[in-house]
Amino acid sequence: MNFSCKRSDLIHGVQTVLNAVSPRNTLPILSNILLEAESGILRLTTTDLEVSIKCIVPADISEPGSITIPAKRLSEIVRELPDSDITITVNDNSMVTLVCEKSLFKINGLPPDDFPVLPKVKNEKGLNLSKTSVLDMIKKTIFSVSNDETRYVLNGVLFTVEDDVIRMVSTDGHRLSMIEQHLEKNPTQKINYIVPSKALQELGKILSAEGEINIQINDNQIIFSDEEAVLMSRLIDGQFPNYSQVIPKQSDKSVTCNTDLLLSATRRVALMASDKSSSVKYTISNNKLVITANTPEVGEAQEEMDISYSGDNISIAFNAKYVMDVLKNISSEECYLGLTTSLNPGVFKPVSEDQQYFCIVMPMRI
Amino acid sequence: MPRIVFHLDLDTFFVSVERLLDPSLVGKPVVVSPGTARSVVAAASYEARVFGVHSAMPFAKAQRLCPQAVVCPGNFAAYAGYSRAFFDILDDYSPALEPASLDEGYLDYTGCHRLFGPPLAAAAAIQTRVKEELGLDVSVGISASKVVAKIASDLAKPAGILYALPGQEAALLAPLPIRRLPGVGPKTEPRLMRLGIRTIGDLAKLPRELAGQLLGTAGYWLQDAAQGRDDSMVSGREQAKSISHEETFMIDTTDPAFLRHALHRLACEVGYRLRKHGLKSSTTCVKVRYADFSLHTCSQTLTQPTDLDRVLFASGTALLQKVLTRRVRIRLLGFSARNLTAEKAQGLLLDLEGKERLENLHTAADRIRQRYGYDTVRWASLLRQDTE
Repeated sequence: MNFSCKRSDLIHGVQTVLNAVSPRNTLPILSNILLEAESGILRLTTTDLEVSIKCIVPADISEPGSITIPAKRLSEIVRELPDSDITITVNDNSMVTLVCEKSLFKINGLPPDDFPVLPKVKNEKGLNLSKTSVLDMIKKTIFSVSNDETRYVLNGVLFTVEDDVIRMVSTDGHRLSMIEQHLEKNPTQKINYIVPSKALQELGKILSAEGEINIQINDNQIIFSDEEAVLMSRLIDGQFPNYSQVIPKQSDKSVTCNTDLLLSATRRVALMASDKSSSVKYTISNNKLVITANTPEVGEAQEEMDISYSGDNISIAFNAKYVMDVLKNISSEECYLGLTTSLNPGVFKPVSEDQQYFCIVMPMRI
Repeated sequence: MPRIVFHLDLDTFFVSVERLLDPSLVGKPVVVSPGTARSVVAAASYEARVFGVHSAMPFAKAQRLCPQAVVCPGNFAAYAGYSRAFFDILDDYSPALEPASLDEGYLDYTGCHRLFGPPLAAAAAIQTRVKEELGLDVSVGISASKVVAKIASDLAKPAGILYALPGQEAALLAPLPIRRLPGVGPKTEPRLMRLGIRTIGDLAKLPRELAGQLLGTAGYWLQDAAQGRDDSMVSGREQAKSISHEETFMIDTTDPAFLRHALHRLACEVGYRLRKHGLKSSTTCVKVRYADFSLHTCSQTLTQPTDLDRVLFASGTALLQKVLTRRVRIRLLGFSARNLTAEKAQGLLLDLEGKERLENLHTAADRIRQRYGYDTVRWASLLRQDTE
C-alpha cells in the first residue's frame, strides 16, 4: 500500500473518526484506525463495536491496500506535522512508514484482516433531512437521556418518523423532552427506533457543514451518512415507555416570562441549593415569581422577577439543573410554563416557534 | 466564666428497667444477656457484681461465677423508650445535651442557674424527676469539664451527686486508680502500671514530654485529663452518620442461603430505621467477620438515595458476593447505610419499576409496625427459615 495526501485532509479524516475510539478497549485492534486506499480515495474507519464512523478523504493512490494504525498515535503525529503532503507506505510486516517533508515516522500497524467487519451500507434511498434541523433536534432532547445503565431503554433518544412528522423523545424518568418537525414530503418508510445517546453525541460532532443527511435502517443498525462521512450505530433493543400518557393534557395555570431572565435567576438562586438534590422553589402569584433555595447550616437565596400570570397562587419545587437544561434550549425570547398542582409535572416550552418543542419536568416534594 | 458540665448516668440501667417491668427481680442478682453460648453480659445488678460478674464478660463465665443469677434476655425496645424519656427530661434543663449512650449523657449547665438555681439544686431536681416519672436512679457528676464530670458521676454512684468544685479537680482525681480515667483501657493500664504509675495523681505529676513519649498524642490528652483539664465541648445531639445492623451467628457458617437470609433481615431492619427517621442512604456497606476474626468490608454508592428494603437488599447481595473471597466460615454479618440525607424527594414522571407502589407498601407496613411491633409485618421470604 502506498499513497499520499494533503495533511489538512488527513487531519480532518482522522479527527472525524477518532471519537468512535473508546479509551478503554478490550481488544487492541479497536484502538486502531482502519485505512483503506483505493481509486483516488482514502477511507478511514473506527469502531467500538457499538458506534462506527467512516470518513472519506481525497488521496493520490500509487498502490491500493489497507492497514490499521493506532488511532491516538496517528492523530498526535499528524497534528504536529508541517502543512504539506504526507506519503504513507506499508511493507509486508505491517510496518507503516510516514514521510512528510523531512520528517519520517515508522509505526507498527496491525493487519486489516483483524479489524471487525462492519455492516455494509445498502444503496437504499433512506430518508434525507437537513443537517441543521437534525442537529437542533438532537441538542434539544439529548440532555434528558438517562445515564442509569440498568434502564437501558432510556439510554437513548426515541426517533420516530410517521406520516410527515419526525419526532425525537428522551426521558430519564424525572423529565421528558420531545421535539417534532414537519417534513415537506411524506417519507416512504416508517421509523420507530431508540438511538443510543453516544451515537447522537458523535453525530453532533461530525455534522458541521450545511446540506442534507441521509438516514437508513439496516437490520439492527441505524446509518447516518453524508458525502464524506458515515456513522453507524447499534440500535437499542427494547420498548420505549409509553410516554404519551405522562404528557399533561392541559395545564390550568399558565405562566409566561422572559427565558434568559428566568435562566439567569435560577442559576443564581441554585448556588444556595443543596448539592445533592439542588431543589429550587418557585412561588408564583399575580404577575410575580419568587425563586428561593436554602440549605440548612449553609444559607439561602431569593430572587424576584416579573412574569405574566393571573390565577391562583402556587408554589412548586424543581431540580434546578432540570430547569436550566431546558431553558438553555429554548431559543425564543419568552417561554411558557404550564402547571396544575405542586405535585404534577410542569411543562416548559417556547412561546412562538414553528417547531413543536416541550420539556416536562416532575417537581420535587416541598 | 468557668463552665458547668453535668454527667448524668442511670444506675444499672438495663437491670433497673427489667425490675420495673418485673418487680419480683428486686433484690435478686440479675444478669441481662441473650444467654446463648457465645453471648456476653450486657448488664449486671449490684447483687451479681458482688460475685465478680461485670458487663462485657462472656455469659458462660458469668454463669460459673454466679449460677443463681436471674437471666433476662434483654428488652431493647423498652430500654430505648426509657432512654428517650430520660433525655426528654434532661432537655428541659439545658439546650446543650449530648447523649453518650442509652443511659448516660452530658449536659452543659453553664448560665442555666438563672432558670433552675445553683447546680446542686438542679441536679437534685433532675434526680427527683427521673425517680418520680421513670422510677430510675441517676447519678450526677458536676465539674468544669466533661472528663471530670464523668469520673465524679462514677464516684457518686449509686444515686448520688458529686460536685468537683473549680480548682479542686486535680485533688479529687489524684488518689483514684489510673483505670478510672476515661481512655485508660486494658492496653494502656499495664503499660502505666509497669512504670509505677498507679494513680491518676501519678500521671498528673509525670513530666509532660515523657507522657507524650510513652503514649503519643493520647498521652498529652490523658495527662491534661489527669490534671482535671478538658476543653472538649458538650456537642449537642448529632445527626446519625450511618445506620447499621449486625448479627453474630450462633454457629459459624458458609451456607449462602443462610447468609442471604440473614442479610435480607438486616437490610430490612436498616430500611425500617431509615424510613422512621425520614432519611435516605446513598451508600451501602456489607461487613463480614470470619471465624478467625479477620474483618472484611465492601461498600457501594447507589445511583439514587434510597430507603426501600428491596433496593438496599439488592445492593447488599451484590456486595456480599464481592466481599466473600475466602473459604472460611463466617462469624458475623453486618449491613450499614451511610451517606444519609433527608433530602426532598424528586418525583417520578415515569414509574418504570413500580417504585411508587413499593413506597406506599413500605409506608403502610411501617404504620402497622409502629403500632403493633416490628415483627408483625415482614417479607414472605423472611418467614421461611424462622419456622424451620
